Amino acid sequence: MIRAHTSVPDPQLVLEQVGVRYGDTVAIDDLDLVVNRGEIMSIVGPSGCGKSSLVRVIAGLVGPYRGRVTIAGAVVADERTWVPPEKRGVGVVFQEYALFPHLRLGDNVGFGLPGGDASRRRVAEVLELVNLAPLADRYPHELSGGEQQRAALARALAPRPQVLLLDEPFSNLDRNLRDQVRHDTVVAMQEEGVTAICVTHDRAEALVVGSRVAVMRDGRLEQVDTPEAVYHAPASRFVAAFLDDADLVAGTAADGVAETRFGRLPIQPDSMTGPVEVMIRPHEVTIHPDEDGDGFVDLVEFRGGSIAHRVRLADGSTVLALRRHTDALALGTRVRVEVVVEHPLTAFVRDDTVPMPMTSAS
Amino acid sequence: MTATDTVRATPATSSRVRRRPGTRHGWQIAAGVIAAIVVAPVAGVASSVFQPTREVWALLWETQLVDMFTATLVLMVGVVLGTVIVGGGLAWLTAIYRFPGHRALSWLLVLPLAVPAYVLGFVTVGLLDAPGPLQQTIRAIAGEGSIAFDPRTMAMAIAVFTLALYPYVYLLVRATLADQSPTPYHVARTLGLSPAAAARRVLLPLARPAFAAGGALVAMETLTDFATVQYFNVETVSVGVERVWHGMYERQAAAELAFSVLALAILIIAAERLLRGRARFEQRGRGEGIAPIVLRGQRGRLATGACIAVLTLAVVIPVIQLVVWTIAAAPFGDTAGRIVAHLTNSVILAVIAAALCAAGALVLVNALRLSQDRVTPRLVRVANIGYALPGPVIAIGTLLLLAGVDRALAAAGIDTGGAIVTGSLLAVAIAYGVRFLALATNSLDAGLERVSWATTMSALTLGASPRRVAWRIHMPQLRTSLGVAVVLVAVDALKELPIVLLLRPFGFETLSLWVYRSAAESRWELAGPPALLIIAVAAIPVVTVFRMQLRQGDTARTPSAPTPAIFDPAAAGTHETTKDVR
Amino acid sequence: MARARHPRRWHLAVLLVGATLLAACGSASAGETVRVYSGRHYDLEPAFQAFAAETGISVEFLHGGDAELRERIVAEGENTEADVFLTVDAGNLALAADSGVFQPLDVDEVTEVIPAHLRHPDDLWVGLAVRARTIVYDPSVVDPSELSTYEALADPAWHGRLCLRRSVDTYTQSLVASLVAAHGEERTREILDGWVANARIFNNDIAILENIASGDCAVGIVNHYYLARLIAEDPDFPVELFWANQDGRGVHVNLSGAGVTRHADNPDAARELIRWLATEGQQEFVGDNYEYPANPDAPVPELLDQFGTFRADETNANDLGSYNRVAVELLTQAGYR
Repeated sequence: MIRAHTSVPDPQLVLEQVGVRYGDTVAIDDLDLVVNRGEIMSIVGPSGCGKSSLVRVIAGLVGPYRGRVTIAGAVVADERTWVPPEKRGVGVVFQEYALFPHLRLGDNVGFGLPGGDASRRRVAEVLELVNLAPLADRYPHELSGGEQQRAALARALAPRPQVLLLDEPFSNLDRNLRDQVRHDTVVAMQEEGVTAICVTHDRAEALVVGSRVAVMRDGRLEQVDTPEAVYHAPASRFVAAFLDDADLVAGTAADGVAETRFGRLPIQPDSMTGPVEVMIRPHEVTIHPDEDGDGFVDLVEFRGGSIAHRVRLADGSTVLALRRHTDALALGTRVRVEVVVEHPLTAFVRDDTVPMPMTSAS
Repeated sequence: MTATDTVRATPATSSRVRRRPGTRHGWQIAAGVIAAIVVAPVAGVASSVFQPTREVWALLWETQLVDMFTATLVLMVGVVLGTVIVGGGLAWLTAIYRFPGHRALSWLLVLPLAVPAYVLGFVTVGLLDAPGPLQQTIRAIAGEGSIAFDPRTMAMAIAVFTLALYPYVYLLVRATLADQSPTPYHVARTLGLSPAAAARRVLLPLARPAFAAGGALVAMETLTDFATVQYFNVETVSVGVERVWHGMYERQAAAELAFSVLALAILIIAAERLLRGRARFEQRGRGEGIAPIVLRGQRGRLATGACIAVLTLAVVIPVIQLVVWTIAAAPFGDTAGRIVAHLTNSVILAVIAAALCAAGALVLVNALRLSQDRVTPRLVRVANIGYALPGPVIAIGTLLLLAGVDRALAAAGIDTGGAIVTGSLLAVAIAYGVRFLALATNSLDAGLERVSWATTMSALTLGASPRRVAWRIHMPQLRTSLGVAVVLVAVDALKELPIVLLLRPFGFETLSLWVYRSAAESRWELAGPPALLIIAVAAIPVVTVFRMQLRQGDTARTPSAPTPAIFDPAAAGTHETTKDVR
Repeated sequence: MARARHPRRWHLAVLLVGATLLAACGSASAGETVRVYSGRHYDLEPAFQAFAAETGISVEFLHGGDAELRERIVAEGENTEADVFLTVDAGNLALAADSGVFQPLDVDEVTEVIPAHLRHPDDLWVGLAVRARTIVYDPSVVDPSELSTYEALADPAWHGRLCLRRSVDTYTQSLVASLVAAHGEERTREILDGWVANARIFNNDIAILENIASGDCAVGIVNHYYLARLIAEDPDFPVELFWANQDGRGVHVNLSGAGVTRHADNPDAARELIRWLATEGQQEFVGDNYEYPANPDAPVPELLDQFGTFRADETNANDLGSYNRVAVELLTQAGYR
């Protein structure tokens, strides 16, 4: 995992109570967000959550109907102001790269620069940064997908934008290419020290790329925090379930411990009392073959290094567990479920009126 | 110099106050100015519409109004159906199949674009009329009284318009078919359909917008024609305009009638929209297109024969007849010298019209792309209104407008001596701009649709001014469309008659006027040379541009990434395409 | 340098267009020139060249549709470049006079030589050439004794044998206007109904003549000079001319005429041109087109001799023009195409 330095508060991009709508459709609703200088922020959420609208409102491609956007201390959008995209100092890498097909790579990258020797040097510098220097004379259609992605990145970085926006930048790449390109992209952005927002629907990608991760849903931010925090201490059931497989186990909390069917589990926040639901990730669940166990394996899913087993318990509920691939159990095997915890688990107030948004076995 | 020298300015401060985000006032104003120029002459004529000349309307209502509209509708529907069948069929044949002569025929089939409908009209009547060669030959062989056929019928008018106008449908449909992603076709094949059935059931419905667009174009041309129909005694509303104006001396009533033409045009546009539906059919081709079906033997010869038959009727026969007339007119005397002068003038006008319309259309489509507001699309639509108005109406409107300008200038103490109206080509240029702008806008709009939204936005976010985006990013990618726009306008301007007839300066004669004058005197042999020249001159750009375009379409298709829905301007609800206004 | 190419090319194109427009603006030349707006189709150049050769006054002319040119002169007002408006058809001349296009001609020599019924009552325009619209027939199927008047062609006996010209054309309208002048609206309506029942409609006179020649029509109504033209090309052209209504008011004639525009820049030269056309220039003016000169003293084109003499309907052309609108209404009501 690549990590940027821990950012000290130094706001480079600030959104205050921003709302965006298209006709009657509200895309972004009362959104606040601060991105610090040099920080790479992932914005992740399911499709239709408004994350692309977020890119557009920051870049100036749409105007907010309320709220304020400030970039590097200058207000670029509020009720009375709309600074057009070309005057915002914002770079965008689009999903389809949008390279200019009639310009060579070098000219694509140099497009946002004023020209002259300094600009030529800058073009060479960013091309070097993304390892495309030898291809400067090629046309976009002569580049591979990965090269096109890096070209788009180089082009957006060249004018040293105040904020760099990446909109699903890796989704057009083959999976086996994606990890490498992603790694290279993050390295390049860090070397440039650019402030960046990377929008994605891929939760794993969000956790890898961002020094902080913002989880978005229905036009609002559910949680903004470090990858570790959003993963281990999700602020909502939605965040919990969206970032990875998670099961919620009913229990009763007191003194930082919840009494559950899997025994007493440490929880946080430890001030909770009464009926709670405790979030358990599959890797925290251990299952043992046991004729007297109260569950049985009803689904086995190969995941490379590990095998996911879904266990159906006596009351009909399920829980997901991971085992090493060499230890796969047969369908129907009776098992006993054990939860092994090294840190307090996140608990939510139990509310029977809200159904759990479960995402078992994706 | 260090790299930090190129750090660009911090974002602009809030000094730039804008009420409506996305509105580019400069572009909006530019579009507004163009729309105003288009509307001004039309408005002069239109103002009378609000005080209708009741007695004329009463008379028309009692007598011919219903017949006139019926004839117009029958003609229009017939021609649209005809061009859809012929143009669509040929596009189908050349896009899906390979047969002997396929390559050459693909672009040769565009040639009828160079033959003015009125020329095809009088040639057809001349050839098919009772005293004409066809009937006389039959009589000579089969005896007197063996045949008596009057070519002046609605059916013949429909046939002539179909032959003259089918290239519009052919071009649009063929481009769409050649550009389709092969995936749906392949899916249909795996579902057990034969190649032909798969193409028919999958590709053809995808070409519906192209059919609608081409059909609307054809309907507009038919609706505003006032010369060709008269050879066939077809009494359309446009002919009615002439009758009321010239015979009853009622310019106001004529203008009102002309605006009912506009109303019909609006109906057509609505119909086109309805036909095209809400769906956006375009599936951007991912390269290769579908593998062509090779027709061999009898079937191949049949396909070749079909293409050649259409070309023979639409181009070869009229050209032969014109050549015969031209030879009959020899010796030409001073004709050669006149031809050069007429030709020069025609070309000058065509170039001016094409340049004006291309420039105006470039501004309009860029405004549409760059200014994200609700007003600009409306302005663009208004700017395209001229194509739906008969030429004489635009001509008289321009005349009234410029005469007003002259008077205003004179009142202001600036003596122009009437130069603006009568001393220059300005009037013709304006009127041509009004009349043909939509042709150019349409072509460029289709071209710009191929430039993804993200491309425009990338350029903007890189700090390029909208003007620079228009020049450096849009313009180079619009080259083909620009070529098409220029050719369509130039060729139409070359053929145009009523506007140049009324508005040209002293001593300014064109080929189309020469044809008109000779035809008005029924001196067909004198009409031969200029008509041939029009066809020859128009054929050059038509062939050059479309040959290149069709070749490109068949071989190297540049892959373009699909636009994600979220950046599709239509999804944002702030952008409306102009395709439906022509 | 691929980038710079297109913009530069475009600047060039814009410059070219601008230059062309400017050049066109500056093309109006000075000097002793008379400018004519002409709605007359026929080749005017020989006559104008002869005029220039004799007088030293050059003629520039602009040919166009009658109604459009009239609108143009009215719209241009004081700024008009036209000194002379020359047009075909009494209706057009009458309407131009009513629209205030002309100033009084006031040339004694013209008044003396052109008969009064071919001039405007207030001397605003003068007729210069006369065309007769009369009956033509196929001698192999029609005996001239069957023919008499326009009115008689409404008789059912001619059903399917009559060929007429479209109602949109001035010539048809003017002929019908002469019927209105002679008979009033009701009787004209009956005649038109008869015609419509009998006739096939063509869009030019040549087509009517050729269809008679080919045996597809028996009888038609055309301007005399179309037949003259075809006979000039082929002396054996198998169509004969019949002078209509000789026992009554005479054959319907129409005219080409001209007047000096109210805001003429060069009224003296304009008067000189019209004077010349009405006198010495008559032969050149009617020559190629086989029209009858308006000036009775001028020589009639030789080829017309075979048509013999005729009696012309002397309804004043201006009155005829005033009936044109009624004529169009009646034609419209009769369903005449």
